[in-house]
Amino acid sequence: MSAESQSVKPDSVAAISNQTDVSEPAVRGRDAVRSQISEPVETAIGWSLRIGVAISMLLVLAGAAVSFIGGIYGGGNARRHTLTSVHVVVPQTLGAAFTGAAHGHGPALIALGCLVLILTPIVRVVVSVLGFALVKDRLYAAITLLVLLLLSASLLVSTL
Amino acid sequence: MLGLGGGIIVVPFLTLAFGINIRLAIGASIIAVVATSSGAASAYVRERLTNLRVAMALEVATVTGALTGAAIGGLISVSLLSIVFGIVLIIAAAGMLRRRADRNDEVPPSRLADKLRLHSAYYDPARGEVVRYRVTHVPAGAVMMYVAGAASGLLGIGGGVFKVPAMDLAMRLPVKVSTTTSNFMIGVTAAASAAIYFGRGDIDPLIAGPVAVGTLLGARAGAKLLPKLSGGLVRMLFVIVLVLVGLEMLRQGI
Repeated sequence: MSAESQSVKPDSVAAISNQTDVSEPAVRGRDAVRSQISEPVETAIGWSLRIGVAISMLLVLAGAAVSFIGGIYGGGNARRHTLTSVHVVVPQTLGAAFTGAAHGHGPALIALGCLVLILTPIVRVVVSVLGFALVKDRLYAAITLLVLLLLSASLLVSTL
Repeated sequence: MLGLGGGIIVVPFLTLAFGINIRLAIGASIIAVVATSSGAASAYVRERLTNLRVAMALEVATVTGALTGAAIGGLISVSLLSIVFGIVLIIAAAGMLRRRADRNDEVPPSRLADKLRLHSAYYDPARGEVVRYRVTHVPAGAVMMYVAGAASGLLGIGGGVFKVPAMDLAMRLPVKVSTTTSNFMIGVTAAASAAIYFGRGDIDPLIAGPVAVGTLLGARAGAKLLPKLSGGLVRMLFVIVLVLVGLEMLRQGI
């Protein structure tokens, strides 16, 4: 759109390909635009999400495998009944999930995976606060810190 | 894929198709929303589709809204709320349909948006070009986000259906940016409610686990697909979902 197409370095905002070169534009995808926030902060946010999701999926899949081997998912109407009703084997605390998982209890491993998943977006906010603080973006460090405080407040209010 | 989280599909599917208890279905759907958000967000952040500044600035409004919603929950009739929000969604759908061109020129200047450095650009593979856009009406957007947060707190929904129209109609973000930014934001609100559901024992690992894996895979696929679709198509899909959810809320309210 702008005439800056000769600058190919990825951090120029409007570095877009020359329209005549349709087959292989000079800069495509993410590199066509500069990171809106600081690049290391953006990368850290992306990785915090990716790592959280990966750990959680590993735990869930490991737990599911253990459950299958142990026959918890095994067919039959008796099991179906427990799946479709509210029952008490659900670990409700971090501690219960941890001890269960340490004993190789399948459902507890899955529960731990779910907990890691729940924590992932919250960790992402923490990473944002630290990241913005490190690159001295005071305004956004303050904004994300406020989000974190409000989030903690809502967790406190609703668990009371 | 549309910045919603998929909660609206998971609950009816689990209860109707598998006969799973509604409480556990809602618990699993909250997990699904967190999985969708986090799973797709990393891809969207990498592609620089998400407007991270808009997301973080508006999270203040949504989380405050969710806090209010949780605090006043029970004081307001849920059926009345459902009717009000159902009507709001259908009006929002009409508004989004009217803005079909998805144009971002002639955006009124906004001092607050300048100060918060919200303006940005993204690369659109469907158009093969960089799309630069300006953000406007930040206070109006923040108020709508507050309502969106309160609605999710009160009605137990992800709130994406309210967040996307707020960013689209008030702040004039391109539709791909508003859907990916909404997707980024819903993780935080959903995680807060998910923690509460977990503490109550509403999240059964044997149900939520497979649901999380499934929605995560779906979210990854959706995240690959979305950038390639045309903005107009994304908008049309979103309008259809808005109308359906709006009608469903009206039906629940009446």
